[in-house]
Amino acid sequence: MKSFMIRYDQSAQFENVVLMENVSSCEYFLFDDNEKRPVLEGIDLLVRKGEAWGITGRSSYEIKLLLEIMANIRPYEKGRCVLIERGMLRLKRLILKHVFYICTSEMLYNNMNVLEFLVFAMKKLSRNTVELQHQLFEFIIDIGLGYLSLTLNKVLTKEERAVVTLIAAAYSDSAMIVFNFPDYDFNDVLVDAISKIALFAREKGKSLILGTKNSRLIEKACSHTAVIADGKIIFKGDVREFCVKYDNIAVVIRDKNLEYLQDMLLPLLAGHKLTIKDGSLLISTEDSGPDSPAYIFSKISEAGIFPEYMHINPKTVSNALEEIFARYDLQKQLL
Amino acid sequence: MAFALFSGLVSFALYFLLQTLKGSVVEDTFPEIMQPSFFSTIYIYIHMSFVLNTAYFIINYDYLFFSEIRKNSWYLLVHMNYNPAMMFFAKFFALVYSVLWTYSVGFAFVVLLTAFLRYTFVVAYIPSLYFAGIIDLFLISLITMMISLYSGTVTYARYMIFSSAAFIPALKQISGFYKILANRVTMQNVMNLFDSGRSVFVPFAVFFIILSFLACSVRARSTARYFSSQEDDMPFPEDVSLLRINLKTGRLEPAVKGRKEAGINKTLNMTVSVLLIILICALLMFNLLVILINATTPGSEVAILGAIPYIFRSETMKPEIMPNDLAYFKKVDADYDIDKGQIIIFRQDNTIFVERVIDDMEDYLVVDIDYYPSVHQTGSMRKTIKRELVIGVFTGRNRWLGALILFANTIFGRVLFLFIPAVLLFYHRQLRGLYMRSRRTRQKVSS
Repeated sequence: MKSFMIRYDQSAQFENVVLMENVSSCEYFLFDDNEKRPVLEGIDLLVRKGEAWGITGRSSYEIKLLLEIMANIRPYEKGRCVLIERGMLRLKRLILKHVFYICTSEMLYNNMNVLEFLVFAMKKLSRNTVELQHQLFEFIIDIGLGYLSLTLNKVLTKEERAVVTLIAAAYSDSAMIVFNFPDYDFNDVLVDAISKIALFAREKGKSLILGTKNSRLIEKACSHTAVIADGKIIFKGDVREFCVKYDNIAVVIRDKNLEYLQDMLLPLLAGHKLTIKDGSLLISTEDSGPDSPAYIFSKISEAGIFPEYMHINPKTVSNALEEIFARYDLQKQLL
Repeated sequence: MAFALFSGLVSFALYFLLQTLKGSVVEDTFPEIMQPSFFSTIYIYIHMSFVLNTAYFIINYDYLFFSEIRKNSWYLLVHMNYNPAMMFFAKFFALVYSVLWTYSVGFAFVVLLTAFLRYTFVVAYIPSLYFAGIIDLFLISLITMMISLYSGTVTYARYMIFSSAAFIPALKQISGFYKILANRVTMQNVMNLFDSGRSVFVPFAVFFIILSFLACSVRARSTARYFSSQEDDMPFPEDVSLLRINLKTGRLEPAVKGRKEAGINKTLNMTVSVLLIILICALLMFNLLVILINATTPGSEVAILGAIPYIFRSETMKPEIMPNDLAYFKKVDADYDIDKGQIIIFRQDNTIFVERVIDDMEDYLVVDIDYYPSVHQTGSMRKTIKRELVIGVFTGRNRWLGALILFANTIFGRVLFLFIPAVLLFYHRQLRGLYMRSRRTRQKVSS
């Protein structure tokens, strides 16, 4: 194992795990009108040690390609990309010890069960296999996947298999885990499991980069997010900041007569936007400051209206994404 | 273990099946598989073992060989401090061990089964036969390993394994190895297998095995160093095409190779399907021919395009017509001009005879058989028949078709030539539906 993989000095102090400056991809989209544009263009991104990033967007291809460039799988045309403050290797696809790249659910052996496979995979990392098995079993139960621990890998769904691979990655020596599944549909149990694995990995000083279109996953598992549209990053930063900035829904109301309520509230809440979506009346405001919900509540109660259910919107990634894309499309139309 | 016993049983069954072709061209051409001896049963086993192992490799290609490296199955383990070189050796020796074990158990089982037939046990040729079989298996195993490390797609790999398996017997034939293998005398000395003066096959096979092992170990190690990126997996927008800059030339080139490969795969699969349909139809047509030939009885001779096909059962016309040959006779009427020396088919006392014309006496013909066994006096079967009894004149024969018809008349032949093609022809949609349903269920489980 001496010379097999490119290793990084684990004792070395580094803060920046991924640094991308003005990176453009080698891949181009060629449209029907013969116009072409780089799949990714002018990407600037900084991922620090211990952060969990959710990279999202409307095109799975763009997300996947960005994470592939980050993981040294694909070359890029322009710009600069630095991994663990060591630069980027010319040899692409070479397995790097400090990058654990997961983009396939085929890494497991089908003839083993989940626990058996994880113990087998991590055997070289621990001297005491019995203790390792105990630890892993506890961990699987802790993340809420206890019911899968003795299930054969071959009967797992592809999403479950991806999560099992992520458990192994979290235990590995790699400083950076890239989890590239923009099209996988993770259910709530798996989202919870991933968020707990992410926490575990971050506590070990690892950085996690998730390529996903699942807003709940970003909300629960990530500290940061980057949103890509038409090959460019249109937002990057803290997840909470993203939600606060773009999720303008202040109050959510549920009632049998939503249309009636909307008509009643419209004159009362001037400057607010009232929309009905998925059986709820959403009250949005441009100024989503802390006073906003209180103001709306007071206006509604003053008018003597008492809806069946009313709550303050907790600010979700899903709403924020919807808003950011709506604004982006509007801006594009104006241009 | 089960596979080993299955191979042994299938070989033994095949030996008995071949016994039904005794007296046909098969016995003359391949006496080594028809003899009542250990040599024949083991000879059949070493070939069956090769065929069954190849089929097993093709079916279980995905997890038996190194295609898993391309699926990144080693990626996780490499990250967990597993050494790819050690993983390669572990997998290689596990495969060699399992091949050796199943082959040896099957070999012993065939020897045991043959012992019940009370044939004379000759120890001398057993080691040579054992080695000859194991060399074939090692060769196809190593070739499959190479294919798994170099081939990009599973479909190509499977076709390549099949082609390689077909090439090995051809190579043996070209290099004259079958002459050694089929000879019970030369097989009594195991060193004859390695004698390049007799055949270069074994030295070549050993050399190729060593070379393949080295190539595999180097290739496995280098492949395991890289993450295998699968282009087809990329969720690609449908309304646009993808271009990629070639970093060496700086030019933009179409990026998705996978779609072209998928197209080739589709063509390849379609070609195989068409060939299979042709084969099924040919088998059914052949079976129809067999039924027609079997229908030839005195008084109702079946003529196909003016020729009467007739399975000749006796030795009386040796060597012109051998037992179990399919002989063709041109259908003639009473006015047909028959020459001296021609072989004719005629009906007398509701029995069909095939004999040679010795003399021509206007309305009568003097006929005789060609071959008299030593106990009979030559000319004792000579007789004079009326010209009007002649049904046809001999035009030719086919020894292999005769053997095939003989085989087609056995139960196994009926199943192979009639039952299976008929089921495939009439119920292929239902069978395909069943297959697709089980495939969908598997995909559903994995998704």
